[in-house]
Amino acid sequence: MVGLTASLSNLSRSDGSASYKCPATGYDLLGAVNAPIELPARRDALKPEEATVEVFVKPGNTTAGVGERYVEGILRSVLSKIVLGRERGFPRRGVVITLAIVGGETVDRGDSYLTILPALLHTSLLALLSAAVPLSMTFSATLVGVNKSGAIITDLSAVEAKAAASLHVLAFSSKNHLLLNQSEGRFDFDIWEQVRDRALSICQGMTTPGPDGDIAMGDEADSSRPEGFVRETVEDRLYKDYSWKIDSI
Amino acid sequence: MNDRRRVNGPPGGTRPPVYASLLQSGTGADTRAQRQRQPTDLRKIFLKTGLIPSASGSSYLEFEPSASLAAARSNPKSLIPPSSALKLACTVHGPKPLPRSAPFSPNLVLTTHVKYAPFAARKRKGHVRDSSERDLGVHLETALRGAIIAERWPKSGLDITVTILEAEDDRWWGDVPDSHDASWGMMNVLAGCISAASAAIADAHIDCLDLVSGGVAALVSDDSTDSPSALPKLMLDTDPAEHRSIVSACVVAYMPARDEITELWLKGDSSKVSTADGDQRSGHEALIDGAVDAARGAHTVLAEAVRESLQKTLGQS
Amino acid sequence: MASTSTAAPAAPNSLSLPPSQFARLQPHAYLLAHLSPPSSSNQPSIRANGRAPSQFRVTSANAGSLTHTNGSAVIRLGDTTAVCGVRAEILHTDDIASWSVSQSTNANKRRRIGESEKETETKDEEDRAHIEDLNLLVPNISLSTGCAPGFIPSAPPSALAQSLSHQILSLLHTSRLVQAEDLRIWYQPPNLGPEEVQQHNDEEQMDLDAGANEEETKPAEIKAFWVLYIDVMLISLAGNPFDAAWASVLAALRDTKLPKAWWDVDNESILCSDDVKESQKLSLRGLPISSSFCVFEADAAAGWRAVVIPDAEEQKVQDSKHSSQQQKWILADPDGYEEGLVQERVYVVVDKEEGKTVIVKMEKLGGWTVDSEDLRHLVDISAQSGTPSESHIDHEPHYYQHHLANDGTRLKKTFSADLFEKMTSRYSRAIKTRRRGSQVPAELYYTPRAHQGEMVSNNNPASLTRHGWSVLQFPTTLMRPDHPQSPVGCFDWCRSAPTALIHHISLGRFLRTAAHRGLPGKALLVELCRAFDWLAMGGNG
Repeated sequence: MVGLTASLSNLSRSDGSASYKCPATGYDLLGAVNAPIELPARRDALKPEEATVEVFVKPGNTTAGVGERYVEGILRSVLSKIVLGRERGFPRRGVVITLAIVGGETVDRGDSYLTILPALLHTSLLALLSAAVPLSMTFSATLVGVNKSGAIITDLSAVEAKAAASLHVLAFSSKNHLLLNQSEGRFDFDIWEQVRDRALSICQGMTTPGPDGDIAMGDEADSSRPEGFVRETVEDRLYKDYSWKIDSI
Repeated sequence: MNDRRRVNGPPGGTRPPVYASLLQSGTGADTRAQRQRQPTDLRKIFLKTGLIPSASGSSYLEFEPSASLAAARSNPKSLIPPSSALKLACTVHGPKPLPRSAPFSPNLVLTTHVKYAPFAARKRKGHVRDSSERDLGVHLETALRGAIIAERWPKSGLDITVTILEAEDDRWWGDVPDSHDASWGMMNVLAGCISAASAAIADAHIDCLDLVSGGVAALVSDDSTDSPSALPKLMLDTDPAEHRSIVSACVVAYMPARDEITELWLKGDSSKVSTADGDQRSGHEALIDGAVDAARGAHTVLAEAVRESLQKTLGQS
Repeated sequence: MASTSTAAPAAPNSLSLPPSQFARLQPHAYLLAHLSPPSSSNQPSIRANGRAPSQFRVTSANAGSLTHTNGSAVIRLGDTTAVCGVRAEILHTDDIASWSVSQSTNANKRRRIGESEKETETKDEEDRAHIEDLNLLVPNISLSTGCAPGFIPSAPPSALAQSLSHQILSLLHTSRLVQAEDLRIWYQPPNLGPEEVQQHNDEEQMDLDAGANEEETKPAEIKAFWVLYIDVMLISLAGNPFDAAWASVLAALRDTKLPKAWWDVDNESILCSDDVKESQKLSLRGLPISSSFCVFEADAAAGWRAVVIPDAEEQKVQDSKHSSQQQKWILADPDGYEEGLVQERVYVVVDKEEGKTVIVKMEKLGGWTVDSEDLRHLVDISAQSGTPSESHIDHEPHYYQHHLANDGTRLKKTFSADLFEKMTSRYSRAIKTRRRGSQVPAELYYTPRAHQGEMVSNNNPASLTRHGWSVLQFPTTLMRPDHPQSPVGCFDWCRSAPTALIHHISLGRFLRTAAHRGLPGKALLVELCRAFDWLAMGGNG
């Protein structure tokens, strides 16, 4: 999770977009959000009181396959719980999130999507923020592995992930709720609890906003924490967009 | 070309296993499946409705395994099954409103889909419906359309889906296809589809003229001596795996109450038949009459299954 | 909400709707009313389907009932039915593009390893390399069977079917259920004694041999792999498709027998023995059992407008304060009705390893109410629920024929012989009378019909021609004389011109006897033959 870079609103024709790079795993993602938009093709499937969240994942080298369908389902279930789909203007409409995997390891047939899942989650969150879609909370996610000797490893590379005894992706909301857990491999529950604690500390870190809303900035370790990272990216963008105003004060 | 919507196997493709015993001895004639039933004897049918509660109507049909198959199952020796017995499930969804894009229809719009499971036949079937499956769908639709009183449901659709879990063979597995060869197993499958679909429609409480049932008859020349004078014999409800050569076969969908045929499908050369003395019928006449007899037999099973399903619904409410 | 929930289950008289309609109109309130009965009524909290929250549906399984499979199983999980068939086919190493390259590196690796621990590790690695990289396991789930109203039978696999297929494949890979060794077909180059050649398929034997004769024998080589096509047809879907599909895959793999196979040098191909005694069952690693849960919330939409959702810790405190009123229920093995009402789902797959519970997969998504305590509880439940279904699969007799019907009434519908006799005799009477009276109606007329590709394809004229028939096709529509607008039937047929044999007829609906207002069936056929002759003669006969 060291050295994550992201930028918002790169695409001009979508309502919101984000690009995301994770140097540790080499993933480079581009996300776009259109919301709220009409979905005339699925008029019968739309829910009358809520927005319909649609997620599309496009792998870098081929068309989407069964694995993408599966990961789309995971993302959809997480994000539709976060998006305030009952806000004005959203019911009976769609929130369409498109995520393109621009670079990084390709996910093979039957491989788990766990290594790329945190990146997909972060990209979609940033893109949603960029599109100003009302959200009930933000979240951050991380991949944690357990190697054969039972030690917990973080910041896994693709090779380490392949060799791990079990892999876990956990996503925590900004309020410390466990939003998502995807674990596979062989492990027992005590190990999982250790993994959970470790993941929570990674996701939240020290950068949770203080009671006055200030963020402890300037600390070198901060940007390595996903939660602080999401916040910083948005702040950077805001600073850039409102520089005319800030400067004039 | 990879199907991105399914899990694909090795890109280079795979080959079905080849059994050494086949290469060595040609075919062992003694292991050949033999018909144990009388020519007019039908196989038992297992038919039950209402096994799929999420559908408006459903049925499950199974043919009695042939003697050789039953023996092979109770005392397995070879991995090659001697014959197979039809097993299929049928669901009916509807009557339901037609999709928005469909044009107005004053009648019930009937849609039939027949799909083999990939493991249904001796040769692995693909996931996409092939032409024989589409054919079966069309034949089934013809058979049922004549029986359903479609005017009672304007602007509605009825989806009938048949999933074949185990199909019948086209010939005995050891035989090479000869000049008379055709997909005879498909005709048995069609007869099963018709009876099962009819039960499922009754289970869905769709009004029909009568229960339409399917029956198969075939002209069979079983003589190994192959004397040209030997005329093919008429057999009802043939299992193609039990016969040396099927000359022609016929499926009918038949409504006994009206003595009406809603679908007839006849294949092969039915010009010659060995009939009883005094029987003046021509080959295809005998064949059609035989198929109708078989359908009458299936009808008794069908009627009982429907009666049972009715008793169940009456008991519930 | 409170008032309806008290009224619904127990006292339908205060509500004018019968329960079944209430269930459809207000599904959420209906289930909530069942789960939280008024404290005064002293009723237990049960689900609308009568189960306790952590109660699973009755599972029945049987294996080996499908003829054309190497292994098969039918699983009924309540009203959800999954049929799984495993078909094994052979993948020659010649057909693998990258085989020779990867093989040489592997062989090198193999030779270098000494210690046993490292050996298991590389064995695992090789297992993974073979099964995952060569795509030896091919599971596919089909929902296009009319299993539920939402799935269109002719459409390509739905998103649900696709993600289920992926989940099964991914679980097969991560649980390493199938051992690659079972799928390898070895070949020992023939400078061994004949008795060893016979056994070259047996891995352990081979290893021993290889160990003993390290110096003088060539190492055995893999000539081919078995590829397992695992197809699951969900015949009926009433919730929880994953558990049903996985259980059927598991039971079918346990039932799978692979024939003994060897490389035949003369034929340059793999041959198999059809002897059942020589076939081998797959040796599976463990028995991972999957359990699915869903979380039903008392009011899922209540929180959406709350600007501040409490912190996880605060929420816990709050929940414990309001413990008198339960806010969420974790429902095991949800049925279709419950699945429509929940967002949060938990999937747990557990296995037993030396008496200890090992989690193979744990998935939780779609909400934030379930955390570690609940998950621990669910893992415990899954570990318990695993045992009965395990024994179930074990003790079910093989070759149980009538598998979809679980009530044991097999083949009870038979024909009584005399009834059939009566039927046929009456029928032959009918033939006689009809034959006397039948006449060919003069008013029949034919109109050439547009060629219907679907109908004609079953004639398969190409194959007929191949067999020496000269084929004429004559698609016509026959009109009813009394009712010219309504076609009586559609005809597609072939006849060989020189011998004047009908080879193929496919007809629509018509009446068989003259007693009805329609057309006499046989007369119609005769008429058809006449029409055909007329056509065959060029239309001027």
